[in-house]
Amino acid sequence: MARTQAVYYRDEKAVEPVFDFLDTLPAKRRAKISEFIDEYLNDRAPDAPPAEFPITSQVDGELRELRVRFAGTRYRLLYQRSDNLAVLLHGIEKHTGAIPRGDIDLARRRMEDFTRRMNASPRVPPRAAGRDAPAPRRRRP
Amino acid sequence: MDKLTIMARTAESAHPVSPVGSTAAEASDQWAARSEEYRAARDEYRAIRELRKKNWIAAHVRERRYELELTQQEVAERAGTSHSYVSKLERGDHMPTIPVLQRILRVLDEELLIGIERQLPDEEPEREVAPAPELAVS
Repeated sequence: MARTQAVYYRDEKAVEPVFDFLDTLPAKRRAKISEFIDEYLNDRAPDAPPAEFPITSQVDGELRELRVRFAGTRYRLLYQRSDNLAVLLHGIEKHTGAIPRGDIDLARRRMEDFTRRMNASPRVPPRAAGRDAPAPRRRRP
Repeated sequence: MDKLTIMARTAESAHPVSPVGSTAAEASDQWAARSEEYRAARDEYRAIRELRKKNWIAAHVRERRYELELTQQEVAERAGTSHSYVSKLERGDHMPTIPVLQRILRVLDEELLIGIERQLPDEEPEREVAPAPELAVS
């Protein structure tokens, strides 16, 4: 299986909620989080364990969070692996001790939607995956 | 509605929208294309990431100072050291002394802890971690 690739979940109206969340943040914060995504979710061996706490941690079952601190602010990106993809489902600024139930449920619903649409018949082919896509396998001569 | 939008709408109705959105790199490139400030910040974080491989203390101080929007000069003054000391520390070429690092970290609202590890045969290593001792000012 190819190495991991981080992607933004896209809903049926072509809205990418985590992209939009990051878009509302000041440029420096956005850059930090975006580089964190690249460093810790992209280009990992498919069977490698996730980056250790405090970088990532388990939220609920297969749902995990990427934890980013900027000065005094804590950001959390909820994501889940699906084959070689790390799907970015929901982003929040964290104020309380635990992630609110509503946010976890929202991420879960998005992941269910992601899986349902990936498995839809006829299966929607994943689009061309951008320049950070792992190199395609070479055909044997 | 322009022609491109109409074409996009038509294409969407024929083929459902893929749930796989932008890749991390595409999103980052899009922000970079739009904002000089984003490009500068991205370059800074990439430099810090490289620096971390060489010297994580240097990378930490540089990152924390950047996020608190302090200059090297400001940190140096508040920590009672020189601008060149902070600059060398952040380049990763110079290892700070414990008291100076402690003062610099306090300027950054952090506390220096020191850890010591002992390897024992057939056992987990033993660790001791505690605040750096205070030196009485002579």
